[in-house]
Amino acid sequence: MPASDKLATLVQWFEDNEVEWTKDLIEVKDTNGSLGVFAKSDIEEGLPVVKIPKVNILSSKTTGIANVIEDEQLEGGCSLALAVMYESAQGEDSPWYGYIQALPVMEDLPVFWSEEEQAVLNGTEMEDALENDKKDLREDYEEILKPLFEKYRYIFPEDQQEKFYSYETFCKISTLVSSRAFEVDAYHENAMVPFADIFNHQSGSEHVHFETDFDVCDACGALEYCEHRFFESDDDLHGAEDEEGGWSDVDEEDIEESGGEEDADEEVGDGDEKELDDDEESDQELQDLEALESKGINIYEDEEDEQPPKDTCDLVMDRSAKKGEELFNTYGDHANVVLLSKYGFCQEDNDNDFVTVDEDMVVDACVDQLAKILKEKGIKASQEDVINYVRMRWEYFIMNESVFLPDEHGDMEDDEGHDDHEGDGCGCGHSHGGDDEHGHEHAGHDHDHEHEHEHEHDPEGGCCDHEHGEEEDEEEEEEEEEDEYRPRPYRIEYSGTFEEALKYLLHIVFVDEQMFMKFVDNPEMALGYFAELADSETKVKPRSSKKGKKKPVDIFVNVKRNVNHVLHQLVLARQKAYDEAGIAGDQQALKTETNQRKRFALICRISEKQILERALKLHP
Amino acid sequence: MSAEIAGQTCVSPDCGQPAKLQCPTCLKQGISGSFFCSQDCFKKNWVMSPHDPFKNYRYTGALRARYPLSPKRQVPEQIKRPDYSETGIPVSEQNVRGSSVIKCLNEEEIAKMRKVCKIAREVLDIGAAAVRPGISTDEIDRIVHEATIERGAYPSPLNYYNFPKSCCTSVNEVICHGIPDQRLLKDGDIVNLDITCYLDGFHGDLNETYLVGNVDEKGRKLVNVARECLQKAIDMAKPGVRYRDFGKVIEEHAKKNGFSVVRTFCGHGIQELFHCAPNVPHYANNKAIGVLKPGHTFTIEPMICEGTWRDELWPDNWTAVTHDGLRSAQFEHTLLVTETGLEILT
Repeated sequence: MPASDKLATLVQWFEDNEVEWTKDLIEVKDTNGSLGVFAKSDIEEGLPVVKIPKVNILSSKTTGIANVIEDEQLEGGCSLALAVMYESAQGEDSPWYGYIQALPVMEDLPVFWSEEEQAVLNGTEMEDALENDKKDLREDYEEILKPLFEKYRYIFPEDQQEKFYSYETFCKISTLVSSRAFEVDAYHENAMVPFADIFNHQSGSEHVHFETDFDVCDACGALEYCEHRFFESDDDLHGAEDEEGGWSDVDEEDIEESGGEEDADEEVGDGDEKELDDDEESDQELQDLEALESKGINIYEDEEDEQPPKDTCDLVMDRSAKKGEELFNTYGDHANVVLLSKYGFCQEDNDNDFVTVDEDMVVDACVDQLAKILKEKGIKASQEDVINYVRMRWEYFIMNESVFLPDEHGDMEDDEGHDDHEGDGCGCGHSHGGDDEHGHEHAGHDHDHEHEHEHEHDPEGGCCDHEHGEEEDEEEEEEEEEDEYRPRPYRIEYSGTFEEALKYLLHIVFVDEQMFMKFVDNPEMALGYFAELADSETKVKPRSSKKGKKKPVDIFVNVKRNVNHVLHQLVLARQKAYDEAGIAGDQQALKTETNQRKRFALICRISEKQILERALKLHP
Repeated sequence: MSAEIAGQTCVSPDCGQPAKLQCPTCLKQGISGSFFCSQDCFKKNWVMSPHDPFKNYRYTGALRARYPLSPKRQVPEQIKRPDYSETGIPVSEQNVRGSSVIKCLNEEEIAKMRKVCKIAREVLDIGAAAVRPGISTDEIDRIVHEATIERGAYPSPLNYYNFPKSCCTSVNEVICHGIPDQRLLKDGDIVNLDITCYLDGFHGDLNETYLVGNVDEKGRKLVNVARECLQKAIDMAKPGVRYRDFGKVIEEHAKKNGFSVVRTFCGHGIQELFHCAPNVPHYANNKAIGVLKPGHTFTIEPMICEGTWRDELWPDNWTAVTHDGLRSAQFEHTLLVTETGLEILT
């Protein structure tokens, strides 16, 4: 089908499905086979330009197989891809046909690159992320989807397998979902939002942002007050997950007051957010419309009736635009590893970039340094002793980490849904601390795949698989967090600085025994130590000297020296992961490289290597 | 309230006493003229004053409500009641509202559904047998009520969100949820009788539209088409078919015959709950969620109209009538999804 027909069909679909947009101000155009949104005339800031009713988005809650997804309790990432696959297989019978037929076949993500192209990523943060991606896709398909297809042959017929439910299709659709889905709210989580996903992306100087009421009832999607909220305990907003009559002992008087402002939607069957005129009536008159709703009824809104407040996803102008400009959305501030793995591109000199070193490397470096110290002092110790020593210090730090660094670890795995944007959709198994802003304006986190991308040594596929020798058995180190503790990779930020946690950890490893014992007795002392450490680094020192007696600074000098040395070694070790070409070599290659994928790979490499250079300078 | 009302005498025949009281129900409806001298006279006359309680309402068709409703019918103690029978509120339903979960029944539960559906069918047939010109819908309700409790079941509509009667009687332009009252059926009417019974913890729901005496050709056609719509939907159903697919087939058939399909009211899941997931719209291009799986039980109940499909409610907040006052017919079954298709339980 020619592109123009596809676009026409798509636009017709928008019309038929109550997608609203300011037709005199914006239009969708096809430029060389891909769509974009353009300003037809000057547009001012603050204006919502597109509104998409939530009932018409494609999510695991709105798809025809929603009940199967629910019955089988499929998780986030997989379930949306499955929903898209299913609706796609229904062809014109799908309510989303007009939308689906205009989607690209796939996004060009690294999973689809050739081996040769992927090899250019060796040593980068992407390398492991890519491995994990591929592994996840395979696993999800073999372990979740295939059995599902077999169990429900009457839903996923044999004769459709090859075309619509193959592994290849799954990968392609997963890439679409990864790059296009939006995190809509607590009920739908990630969803495909027609029209919203046509806006192309640009970091910085974007024009629109995606707005939605996130805080809805996650049992029924109600925007306003509904019974589920009433029945939930005050603290736990997610208690509504238990839908099968967990409140049969609630007093009936309470129910009278619950208002019931949301109705069963006539089309979707989940709670819709239309408000009824009669809601303001007294309790005794509740029955009227409630009754009708529960009889499977929805009160139809006549055109003549008042328009009820619509629950929509909106695209709102962040700044003004001039006639003819293409309007961009932003993905948010992401490191190249995220941009590339999720969206298929990356940016030169990306100041969100980072490089990670894994625990293995850190432990090795500590052990080496310690061995050196002991040797210098003429103390004999076996390798095993040294390792245990490190391990002991390490465990201490891990156990008290949340005390030493409360901010960074407030965001670990158990943080779901406490931010406007992040919410459930970002239940990734990794820390949101530091500079890794997920910038969830266009987050669309595909749980099973995407979170792998941020870190080379992601909890899921990363560190746990590595041999840690006899050290830290992570299970032992469980903190107060509900989730199992997962080893984190340690970051080197764009500026070349290592993350605080690592520095503090190393200090713990290298303080003398006496000091350490004080810490063990009372972790508050460690806090004090760190505070003084922080102070000492901000004070201007008249001379930097590695040896010699200086009063309060004394306690740090030796430790710092060791820490610094370890950090230095870490950078060197990390640099070895890349092939021999230096930054200059890569840059030269970039100048002449025509293969776009390889270009992206080179950009990633260069950026990371530059970070490591900076780190070396900071830790000579 | 105890002072005499100027110039008014008790309307009770042969009384003639000065009136001190006014019928509070009439007053609420804005109706004047129901003056009584005492509680006694009032009570005595209660049954003898049929009237239209909604004089200020602009009826869409010829049908009028005819009050008073008869007193609330009793259900014997030993019959198991649903959770809303006391308070009117079905807490159990509200708990799962909005859920995408569609229950799959096990063998035991299916057996219970078969049983209650069979009874509901019997009750409907008994009620249907009573349909004739000159009988009031209230009388049909009485017959239905008796038949229900005779079988040890509870009439599900009774007190569901405070619905006052044991079945729904929908005449001519009434789409659904008509409240049985003093109106007498007339030759030429079409009337839908909607029965739901609750037995041993499960509901069974069905309805049919009947011709009263001689009905004109269009009316007969309407009723036939409605019946056919339901049948066509049933015929296409089997595991894998989606709940959103029924609407297409129903609307197509209705449109072909020049009729429209009501959008406001939908079929629904039914077992231990009277109404629950899935939602089953009867019109095309809907986005109902859910795929049929063996073990699902639900209703399909298309409402087909001569004219517009748009509905509005009478002031009783139950009776749904067509906007243009033209007639509407409906048929309903409770259905069970089997491995190979659909079984009609009612």
